[in-house]
Amino acid sequence: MTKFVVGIGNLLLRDEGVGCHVAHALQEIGPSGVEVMDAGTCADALQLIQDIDKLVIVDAAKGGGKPGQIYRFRPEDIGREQKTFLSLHDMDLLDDLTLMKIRGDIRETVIIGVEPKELSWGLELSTEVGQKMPQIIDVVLAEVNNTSPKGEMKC
Amino acid sequence: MGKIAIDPVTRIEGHLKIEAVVDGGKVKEAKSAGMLFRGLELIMRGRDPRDAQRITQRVCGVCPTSHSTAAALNLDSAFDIADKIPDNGRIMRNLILGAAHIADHILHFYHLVALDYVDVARLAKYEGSSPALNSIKDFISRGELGPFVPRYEGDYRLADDVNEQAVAHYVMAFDMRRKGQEMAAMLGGKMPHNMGIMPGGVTSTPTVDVMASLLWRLKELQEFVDNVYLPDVVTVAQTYSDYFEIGHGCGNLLAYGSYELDGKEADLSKRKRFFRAGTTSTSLKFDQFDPTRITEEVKHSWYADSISGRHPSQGDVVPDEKKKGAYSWLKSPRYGKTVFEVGPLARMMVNYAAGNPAVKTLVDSTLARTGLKPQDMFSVMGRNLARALETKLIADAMPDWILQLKPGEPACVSYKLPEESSGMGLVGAARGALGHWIEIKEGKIANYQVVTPSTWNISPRDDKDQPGPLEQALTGTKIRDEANPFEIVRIVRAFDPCLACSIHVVSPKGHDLGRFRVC
Repeated sequence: MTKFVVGIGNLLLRDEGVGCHVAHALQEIGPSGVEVMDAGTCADALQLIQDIDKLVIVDAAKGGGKPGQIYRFRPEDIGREQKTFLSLHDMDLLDDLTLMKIRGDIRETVIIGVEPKELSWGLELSTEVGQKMPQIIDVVLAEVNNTSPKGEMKC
Repeated sequence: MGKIAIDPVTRIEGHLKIEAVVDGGKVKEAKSAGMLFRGLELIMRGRDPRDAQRITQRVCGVCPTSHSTAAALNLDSAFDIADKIPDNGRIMRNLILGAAHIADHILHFYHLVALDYVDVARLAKYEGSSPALNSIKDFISRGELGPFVPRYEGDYRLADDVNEQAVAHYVMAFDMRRKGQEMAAMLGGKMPHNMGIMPGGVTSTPTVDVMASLLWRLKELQEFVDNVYLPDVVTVAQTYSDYFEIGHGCGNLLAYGSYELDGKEADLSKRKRFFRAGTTSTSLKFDQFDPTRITEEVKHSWYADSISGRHPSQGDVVPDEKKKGAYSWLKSPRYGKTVFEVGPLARMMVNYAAGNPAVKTLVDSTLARTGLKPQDMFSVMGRNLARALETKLIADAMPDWILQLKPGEPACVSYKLPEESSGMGLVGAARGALGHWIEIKEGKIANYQVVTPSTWNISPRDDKDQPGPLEQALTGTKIRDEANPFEIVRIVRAFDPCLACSIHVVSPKGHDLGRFRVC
């Protein structure tokens, strides 16, 4: 049973990097039986992973909620738009997940999204998203362990 | 007269935009633009200089390894230790960069360029027993065409058996890509965004175990390059040989040089490197490279004219998004006020002109096999071919580098942070000449400038209204079918453009994630 948490995003654009911040925090905690990767902005980082039972992706997601709002959804919930690839930068998360299926080695994928507030230049999370970090980590750990998030959560 | 705009920007904020005006079946005028204000330099100011290696890597998810190398070389020079890097550190940096470049070039060919020439959709009718090809067939039958569409139709020329083989190699290339990344991670701690390359050297020391693991992975990569990648590129080149006549470009090539062979020479422009620095043109006359001749011009960029024509070490970022006549967020880097193309083609032909024996032998033998002249390399197919030849040269050089490592000996040198200093780091990134410049005051970064390869290649018109390299490569191209302008995308992709990573926020269907709220 292989479980993987992959944080994606750009650390230089404040809340855009929330996935990377979560990956770093999880690497500190070192949850057993879970591999953690900070994939940054590397479009094809998921190609480095093979044979996964459960993949949890953490990224910023614009869903119309308040900053720090946590979402849980699956790749098929995201609309795919058609585009012409000119650069390797045009490869996005969905393309990467789609390509992984060619090799058929991914069984379940869940995306944990976090509503961003600040997407401007800077390395720090906004106060709102920063304060939500413990809850985001709980949600991710619960997801990867198939349990309910621990403690009481004020939403 | 029609205008063809290829603009993936509609979906993500800020990428590459190409506009071609077609008149009488020919591109009359072309504009290439970067639609994202980068401004990375602005967040560098006031920080600890050592942050540069960490921060600049995050500017790009495709070539972070090259940024870490340029930043380390830049800081080596600013810290006055460029001639003191231990051999282990120098070689391990070469190996991390080399592994990343091999992986990158393979990825670029199979997962971006090949789709222009290899017809993956034809596999829907595949009836053989290859597991790889059936995995593609199943993939298509599930309706998941993903990165294979949209595409332009009407010019897929490979015979069925050759086409099938190329698609099987497409699947195989994923594993090769992975092996290259694993090699880089073994020395650099992690990939992407390695932690190993630092000012002074690298953070780990080589061990016999790591050397052995590198060697067997490299062996597999070499076999793939020799028996699969290079032959596939040659097959595509021969089948689409008219693409040696398309996309000529500006005809001037510039290379900064890469892979340090000498740890004792502080001056990067004099240091002995595996691929040497220099310039050349279609005459194939070699000229020495002088880094003081680089300028960045902004007449057609959204920056204040007051900063135009400066050397990058004096560069500044003063946005002016309402400027008349401007159409790009990229500046126009120029060398001696002339337009120069950078990239694998530049590295190969500059080294060819300089008489680099390994490069000359390989280029000549490949040209002889395909019946081409060196000047034919200045083309769409020449760029694709040069990238594959470079991959082979790096892969073939790396076993020796691995064997030169000395377990137990140091891989980095200590240094003192200067209060006042300046530095320059130049390297051949996968996509071409990459430069970092730093100015340190009171122990902090006072100014940091990054000039990327795609800024050179995708640059807009300059102060003298000279179009950039990609714009020149597009201009004059015959377009067979305006509804399917595959000539344009093939020209663009052969340059392997890479603009700064933009905001990759996932946006769900209808922008309403309400029903997915957790807390």
